Amino acid sequence: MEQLGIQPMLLLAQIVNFTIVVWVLNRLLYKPIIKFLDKRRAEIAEGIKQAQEMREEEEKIQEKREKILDTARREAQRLINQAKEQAKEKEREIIASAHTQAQEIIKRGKSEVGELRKTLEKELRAHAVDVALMLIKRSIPTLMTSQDQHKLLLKQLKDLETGSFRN
Amino acid sequence: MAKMARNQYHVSQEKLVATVKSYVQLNEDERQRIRNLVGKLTGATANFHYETDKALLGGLRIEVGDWIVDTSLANALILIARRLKED
Repeated sequence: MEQLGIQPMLLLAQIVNFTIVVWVLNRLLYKPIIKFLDKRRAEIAEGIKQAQEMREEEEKIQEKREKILDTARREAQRLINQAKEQAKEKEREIIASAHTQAQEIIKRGKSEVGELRKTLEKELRAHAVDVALMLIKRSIPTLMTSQDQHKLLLKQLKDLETGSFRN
Repeated sequence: MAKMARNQYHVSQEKLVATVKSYVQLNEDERQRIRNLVGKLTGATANFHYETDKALLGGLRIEVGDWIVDTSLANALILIARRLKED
């Protein structure tokens, strides 16, 4: 070894030194770095996991929100339809009521017109009878002679005597 | 006819006044028939009072107390007019 220029003591010392350096490096540098890297990896994994959980939570919230909105839309549509139906029903009731009232008014009007017509007809008939009576009263003295009057009188007396007189 | 007895009508046994109104002046024959008629229908004897009334238009009206016979055309016309107005 000495012929090769290698001194055994120096080599040994070098080996010891190298071993010490490796041990020191392993102890003071490699392990903390590994430990730091593991810790960092765990933090990242935790972060990813939390992000995933948050994303899932957000999706759930979004789904819930959609569901609530859908329910609200359906409820709103139902209320609108119900309101429309109630409005239509109210419209039908108003129209029916108006129709009934119109029929009542027409019926009452017809009845009043009928009554008025009856009254007018009665008054007109009475007036016509009065006029006719007046004309007959005026005409009798000129139409019936004294002889006619005596004939009438004798006929009436005969009827009275036989009990067959009728007015 | 306002009031008329169809058969016998006894007014009273005492002597009453019978008023006979006619459109024309009655002759004696007509008056006699009226007296007989009143006596037959009322059973009463009466003093007869005759008068003409142009408002009767024809026929006659005999009143003996409450007993009345009205055969006048005026009364007939009134009854006809009343029936016509009631129809």
